[in-house]
Amino acid sequence: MELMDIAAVRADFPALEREVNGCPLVYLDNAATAHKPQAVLDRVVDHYRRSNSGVHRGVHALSEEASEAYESARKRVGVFLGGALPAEVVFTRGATESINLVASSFGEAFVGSGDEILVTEMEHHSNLVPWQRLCERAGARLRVLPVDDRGALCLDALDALLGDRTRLLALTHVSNVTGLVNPLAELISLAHARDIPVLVDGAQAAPHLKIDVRALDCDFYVFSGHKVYAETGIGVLYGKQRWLDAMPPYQSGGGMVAEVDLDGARFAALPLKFEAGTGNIAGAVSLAAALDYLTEVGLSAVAAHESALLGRLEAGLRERDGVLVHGGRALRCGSLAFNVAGTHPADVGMVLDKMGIAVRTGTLCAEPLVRRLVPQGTIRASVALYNTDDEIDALLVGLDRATAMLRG
Amino acid sequence: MTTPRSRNPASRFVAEMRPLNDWLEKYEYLIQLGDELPRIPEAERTSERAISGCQSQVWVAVELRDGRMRFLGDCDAKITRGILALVLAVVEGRTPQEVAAEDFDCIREIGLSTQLSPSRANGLASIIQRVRRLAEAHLPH
Repeated sequence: MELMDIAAVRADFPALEREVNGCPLVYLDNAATAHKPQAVLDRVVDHYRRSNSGVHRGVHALSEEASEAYESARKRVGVFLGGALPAEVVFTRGATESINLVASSFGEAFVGSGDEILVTEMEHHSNLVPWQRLCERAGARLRVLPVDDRGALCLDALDALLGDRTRLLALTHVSNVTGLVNPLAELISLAHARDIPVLVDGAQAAPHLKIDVRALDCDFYVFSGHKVYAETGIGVLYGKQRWLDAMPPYQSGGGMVAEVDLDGARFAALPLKFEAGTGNIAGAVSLAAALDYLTEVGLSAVAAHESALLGRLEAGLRERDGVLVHGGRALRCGSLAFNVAGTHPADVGMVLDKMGIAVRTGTLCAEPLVRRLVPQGTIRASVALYNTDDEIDALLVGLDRATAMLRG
Repeated sequence: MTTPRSRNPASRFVAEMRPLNDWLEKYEYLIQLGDELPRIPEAERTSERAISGCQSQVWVAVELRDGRMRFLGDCDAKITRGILALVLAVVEGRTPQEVAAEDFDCIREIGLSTQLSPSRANGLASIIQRVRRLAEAHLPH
């Protein structure tokens, strides 16, 4: 196993040097967004300084450089996803837009009155609300695979929910609340046994796990750049070519057409059919740089490091009175959610903030799951490759102080 | 000098918080203030009294008696309940005209102003907005 030089990694992230409220920043809100390494910032600045241009249209040198950078970023993403073809990689603003694209275009082509979409009770709002709206538009029915009291999927209920009218199963790879990792292989093969395609929300998986869309055999996989150390405003939709070919365009305009006259248009080939307008070229460049960085540090080393951090946190929390760790003792990735008896999560978060410790509190954009686990909301600590044992310990000490202040 | 404003308990709270340099001490003070705020019985925590936009649940009720606003407020989180107690202390017993014109400068003064931005989830901005709206609704036509 490769090991990480944590001091060297931290030195790559300028944002980690700052102080908050007079304390060194302890950033444990990485599931919301991760900080950016200098290598990513440099590549973005370099792009704007040297190669800024429109892509795919100009014959001049800058346009060729920018097009080359954009398309090589697409190839880089394909490799990161385990060998997706460039035609199967659509650049979007983020996982949310990727899901909206599928809900809109797949919905238009394949979802009608009386059909069903299956989601799970643990979804982020981004993988729930677009399907609610599609079902409303199409006269379809949204069905929900429930979770148990720990927040884990009730896999036994799946078979009965996959029916003749199910057009798509949309579910998350990793819960953005509990960090629980769903058994995708099993779920996807059950759905495929009935010819039901599967969309996987990989927003919380891509920063932490090796992704292989070929091995998973999922039909769609989405993730956001900003959670894998790239800029905000860039994301990815992977889709199997046969689905993307069969789906109508999402937005229309320049760049997504092959031929236009006043009566109509013929659309461009994949993936440009889904990329109307000038894309986020610098964002794509930053994503390629971020994936290079992540790979250079080493995906397996990162996974081992982050898993040790979460293990340390979980052990520390379980030693403390009245702390409830959500999700039980299960495989967890990136995030861990907990509550402290006798305290409100918002209070705990505000006190920790004054100690320079950033966690997320509330319903975490997954209101159905969080309300099911604990109506008042929860506290989530989420790690990245640059977090340290000392930061986990700082959180535990901070929690003790917050608890003493807030209980009683 | 005794002015009507300095008799307001909010001035005392602000004076007591001013020397506290450590944010955790300020929060401890706010928690204490919140603990002294009379609770709204659960049955009276209606949705019309609820303020959205906070991570905690906040309720504010008002009655006009003899032309003066009488507030009741509650919250399920302690620090925000303290912030609520402070806001209500500023406006308690004053006329709707006065409350509508209140700038809550004293809250800015103790450093809570960094918490005034709408993105802050502690609810201060939402609470002030609700109090102002209640005052405006009670202005004579």
